[in-house]
Amino acid sequence: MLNIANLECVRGDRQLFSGLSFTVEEGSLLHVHGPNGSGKTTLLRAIAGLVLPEAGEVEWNGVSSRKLGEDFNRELLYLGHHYGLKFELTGYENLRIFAKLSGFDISEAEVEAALKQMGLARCVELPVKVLSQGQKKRVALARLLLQPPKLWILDEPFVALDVAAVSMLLELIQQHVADGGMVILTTHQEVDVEVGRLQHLHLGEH
Amino acid sequence: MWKWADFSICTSASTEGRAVFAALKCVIGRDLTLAMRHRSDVLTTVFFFVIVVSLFPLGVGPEAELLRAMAAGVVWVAALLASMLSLGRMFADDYNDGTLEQLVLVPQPLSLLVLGKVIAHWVISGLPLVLMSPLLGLQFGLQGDALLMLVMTLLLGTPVLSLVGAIGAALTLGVRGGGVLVSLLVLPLYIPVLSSAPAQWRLVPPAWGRRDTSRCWRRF
Repeated sequence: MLNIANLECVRGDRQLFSGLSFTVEEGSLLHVHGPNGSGKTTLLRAIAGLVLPEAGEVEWNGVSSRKLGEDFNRELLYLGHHYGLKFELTGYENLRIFAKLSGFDISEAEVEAALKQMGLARCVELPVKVLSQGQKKRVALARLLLQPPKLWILDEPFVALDVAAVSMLLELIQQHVADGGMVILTTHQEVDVEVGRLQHLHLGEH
Repeated sequence: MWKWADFSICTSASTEGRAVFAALKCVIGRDLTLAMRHRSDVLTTVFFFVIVVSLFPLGVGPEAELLRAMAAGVVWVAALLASMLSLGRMFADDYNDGTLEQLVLVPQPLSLLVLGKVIAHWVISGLPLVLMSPLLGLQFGLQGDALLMLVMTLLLGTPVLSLVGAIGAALTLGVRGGGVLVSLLVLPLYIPVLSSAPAQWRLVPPAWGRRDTSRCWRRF
């Protein structure tokens, strides 16, 4: 269970939000809404531990995520605006490095299967830099298929994806939530999924 | 019963150790692979080093004693500047494409991942200089054990350049004009390395290039 208590973030001199508290339980999806510049990305980065909040606490099962450190990171998968891919390496190499560093015990075949499932069967051996934007995004999203951690934090996951990929991603999210996972995402489009618990958070409206 | 408990602790510690070591290896391997796909970056550093060192005999002239006396200092200053050249890339590329934030979020000790990157940086930009140095030493009239000594001091010193340089590279990450700033930050920190390594060497009798190396090795 992820608990956010009285979170306050500032960027430069501007306060983005303060006193933000909410809880994300197992098997639920949190959709963060808000206009551009309302602090959606900052909120997600603060939850992931990439931004130090001005005040407040991010708690995982009742313990501060900063205290948990690596144990919290083990439960977390964060996909930001940057793809987090090395463009000189192939999609396969990128995923393999990610899996190794995350301590996942997966075989080469599983990595290839993940890429194939994302519709990248023909691009396994190509460096990421020659792929299109949408394909790069698919490589990044293929990480969701490798022994996924419990908490997914997805910042604008649908950008640059075609219709088929969007529906595939929605299905993945739905499956993850149904399996008791948690998803926090920001997107400007409607998230049309049938999940047990769908929460909405609106930023920049107070 | 306690034996079993003890045993399980031992195995979990060793598997953890293995996982940590695997992560270290993975980061080093990753950075080396990237360097091999960008070979021009590595070659730039090496050629810079070679050219800077080669300019000195041309500028000073063919005075053997003078050249021999200044050899270590020249090679060291050139190695220092060459390692500065590649410092900017240590974290900046990863920062720009978002892989650095993914590294931060990996469930491994961050210090270890940074150490992996520093080791890879040394292999890419320090080790080639060490390997090139005997050739360059020849230009300065160094022979035999003197060359070996030069290589040994560089072998010890260049990892320090990568380690200290990592501090500057990390501090100037994302700062505009970081390249110049990193030089201003890091060069003063290099002074202890610079003054100790060739100083060891300067204590050596001038004719040491050919004979009497035992004293020097003791000091080393």
